Amino acid sequence: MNVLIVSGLVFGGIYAVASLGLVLTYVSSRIFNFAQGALAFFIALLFYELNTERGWSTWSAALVAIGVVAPLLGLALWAVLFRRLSSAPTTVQLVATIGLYVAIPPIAKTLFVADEPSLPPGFFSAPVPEVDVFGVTLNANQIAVFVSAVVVGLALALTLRFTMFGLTMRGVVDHRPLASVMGINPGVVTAAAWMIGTMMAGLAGVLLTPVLGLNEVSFSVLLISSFAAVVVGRLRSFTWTFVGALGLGLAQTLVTKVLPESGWMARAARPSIPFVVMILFLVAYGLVLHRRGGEEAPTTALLTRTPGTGVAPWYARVLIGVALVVAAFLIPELLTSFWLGVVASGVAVGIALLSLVLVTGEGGMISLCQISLAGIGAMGAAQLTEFYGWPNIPAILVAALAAVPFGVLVAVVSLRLGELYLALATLSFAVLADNALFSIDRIDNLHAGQPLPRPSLFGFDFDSDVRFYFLALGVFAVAALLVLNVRRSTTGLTLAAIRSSEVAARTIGVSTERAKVATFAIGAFIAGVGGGLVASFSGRATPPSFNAVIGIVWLAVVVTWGLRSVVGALLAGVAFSLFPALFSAYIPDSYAEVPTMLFGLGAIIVAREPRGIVAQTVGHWRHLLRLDRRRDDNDTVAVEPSAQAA
Amino acid sequence: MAAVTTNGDRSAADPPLLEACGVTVRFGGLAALDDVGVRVEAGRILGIVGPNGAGKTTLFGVLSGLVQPAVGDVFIEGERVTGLPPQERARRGLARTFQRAHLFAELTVREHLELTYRWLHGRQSYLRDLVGLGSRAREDGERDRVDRLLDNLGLASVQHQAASSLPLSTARLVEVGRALAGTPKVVLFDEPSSGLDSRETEQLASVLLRACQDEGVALVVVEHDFELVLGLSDRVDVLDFGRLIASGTPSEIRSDPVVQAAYIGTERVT
Repeated sequence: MNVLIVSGLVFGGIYAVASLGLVLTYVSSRIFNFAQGALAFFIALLFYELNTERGWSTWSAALVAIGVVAPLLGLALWAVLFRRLSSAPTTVQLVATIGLYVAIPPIAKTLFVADEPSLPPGFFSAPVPEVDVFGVTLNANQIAVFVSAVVVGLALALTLRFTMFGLTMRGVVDHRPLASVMGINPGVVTAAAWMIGTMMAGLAGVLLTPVLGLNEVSFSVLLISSFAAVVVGRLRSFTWTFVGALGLGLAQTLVTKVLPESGWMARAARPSIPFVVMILFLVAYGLVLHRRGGEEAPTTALLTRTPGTGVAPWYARVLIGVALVVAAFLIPELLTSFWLGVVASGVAVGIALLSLVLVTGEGGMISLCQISLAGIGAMGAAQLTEFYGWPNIPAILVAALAAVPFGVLVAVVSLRLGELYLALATLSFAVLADNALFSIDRIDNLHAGQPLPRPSLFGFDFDSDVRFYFLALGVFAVAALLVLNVRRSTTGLTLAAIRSSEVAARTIGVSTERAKVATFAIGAFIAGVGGGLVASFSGRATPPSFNAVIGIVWLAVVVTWGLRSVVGALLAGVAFSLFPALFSAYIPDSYAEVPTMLFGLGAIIVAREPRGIVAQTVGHWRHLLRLDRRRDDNDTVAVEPSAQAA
Repeated sequence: MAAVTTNGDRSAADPPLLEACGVTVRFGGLAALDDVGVRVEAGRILGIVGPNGAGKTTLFGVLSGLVQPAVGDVFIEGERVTGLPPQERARRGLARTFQRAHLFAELTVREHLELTYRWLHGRQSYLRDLVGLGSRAREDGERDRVDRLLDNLGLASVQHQAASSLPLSTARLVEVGRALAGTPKVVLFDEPSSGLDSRETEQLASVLLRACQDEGVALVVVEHDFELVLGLSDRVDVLDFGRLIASGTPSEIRSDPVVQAAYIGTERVT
């Protein structure tokens, strides 16, 4: 029992350090740093590099990594990125930090050790000194966690209460414009907050290293768990965040007392707790908002539709259409079977990415769980073919239909949430799907998944890569048509209206709830079909290929190519599949992380050009070729945040 | 429709189009509205005046469903709608504008009106839109209604422009057009004239009066321009610090000593 409490407090302490840093940066800049875990990984890997690989002493390595590099990194990120984002719409901020989340770990692995170290040490390396306290054996790394959590917590509390910096900080938090008027420079306070926040991320990273090792996926998932503490603290209370962090850590270890030794429950329960807690709190906040009349912050679209200018003249559209069709038929002639297969699986991913174009691009709702809906399509189809002998195509369609209720559930739970909470809720669902649903024995099958053969229709097999390629293209075309139908119709106008002003949309008779649920439902079906095809191309539906962390990469890729563009989804899918294959075929292994890095950096660029690569390029060419029917100056639509009803 | 009467003293067969009884709203400890009641009949114009902070906008929030009152009820054509969300009230014939224009930045002027018409005439269906049957769903009723409103409001020349590119005065007219596009029974106008010059105000007033006379629309107008409201309205309610301090015809209000003391006096001074 005591051992469990100690272990729970260790996790809780690490959560506390990480989540307090997150709250600090959030309250000072209103930017939720999704990349907190990635920063922690970066600093932890740097510490390992200096300490273990280069033989620096622990203290000099810690001083340089946490005391020098971390604050400089925080300052640099603030100066280059976050300062410019502070007044950007929440969606843009989220996408940029999600881009960082994707880009930083591969950068770290390229700069420092590329291979995952085995048993990396923390502040104390083996043999780790141990002491007995009240009959419990504590090792020095555990004590380091306790000391860090207490020192960080106390330092924050005292600083905020008693120093000029704290006073300024609270002033900035409560009223930024007022603070500016009173001669406080919010920039300095915010920069300092980012430096300290990054140091705390780094500290959490080094503390976590001996507990978890230096695997980037488990690292970031664990630190994503600390978001739950931030949600408990409602993004502003340091005290409740601290309490929440310790409570989560304790709950996660104490729960093992009541669980069976092995099996699904034992695997699923512990990692799921923070995300269940997060969803429960978010639902509660949603209900409270609802009771108060739902005057939530207005949603602002990441990408806006410019009426009248989005349509090229008919001859240009015919030309582009013909070019696309010719290219589609040329590609199988030009590529070897291997590369055609890579492209075909990319097209299948593109189908799933269309669901993001619909839900996030059209619906304006950031969804990080589309990959789980695709996974339900894939693994559901595999269950139906493997255990019930269904033919492949009906299995994929029925499994995609089964994804719809999950999509509806996500939508219903997150209906009343603002953009940030929506992102957190969908991320929680994605992690829960990994931990609790895809880990069921007959689905997971020791991570090998279940086989899902390539489809056949009326005796015609889509077994070769060429045939599968055309099948995937055909399905993509149908799904794209559905998305375009939605966009061009009254539903599209409705979604655009909701993105601008949910309140005004309701007063003209729009049931915004129903519109969101419908969008999520259609998106879930498209994602499910895409997931089914992705899995059937590779022949297996395996849980690791539908991991929540990959879903975050999906969003980054789609955003890069254009969240409002159907063609963008196709190119994003192909890029997602093609870039890593190209790199592993032609570039030395030490650059294997570059594609992921590029996906992340691409998303960061949306801070500059929110319409994505496709729209940007089309815009340039149209400008050059004078294809615009009329010159107008409203090319970039400034979405005015609709005023709160006074 | 059965005439549901709440007050025993009302004998008319037709209930008022819009009625609020005993509405109290508290923000924290402060009563933004304290036992306020208003009512308006078909084809009539009710003006609500009061200085800033008198509770006018909060009252509109309560009527349109954006703010839930702590005490009190709202009725549309005698039907109790107190707990219903804004969209349900819109479907029962209630439309409103906002003090600061809440336009849909990405939609054109024309699309604002079309969208409202389609939602309030049951012409929107997710399934039809998804399979491509609904995308060109235009009917003559919609075109006539939208064209006529655009003409009346002088918006025909900008109908294909994005709302985000419009100057403030035009944006206010679009809000009015959007409110009227769904053929509402009662429209709440929150400071319709603010941001408009005198010519635009006249145009707006003529559109409002026409809607009132031709279609029997009831109007509730919140203004702090005292003279404008007195000139336009059939009846005027005066709010001050969340309380209804006077109610009557414009001439009664003009001569009411309480109003003069509490409202006009202070207004002139500040």
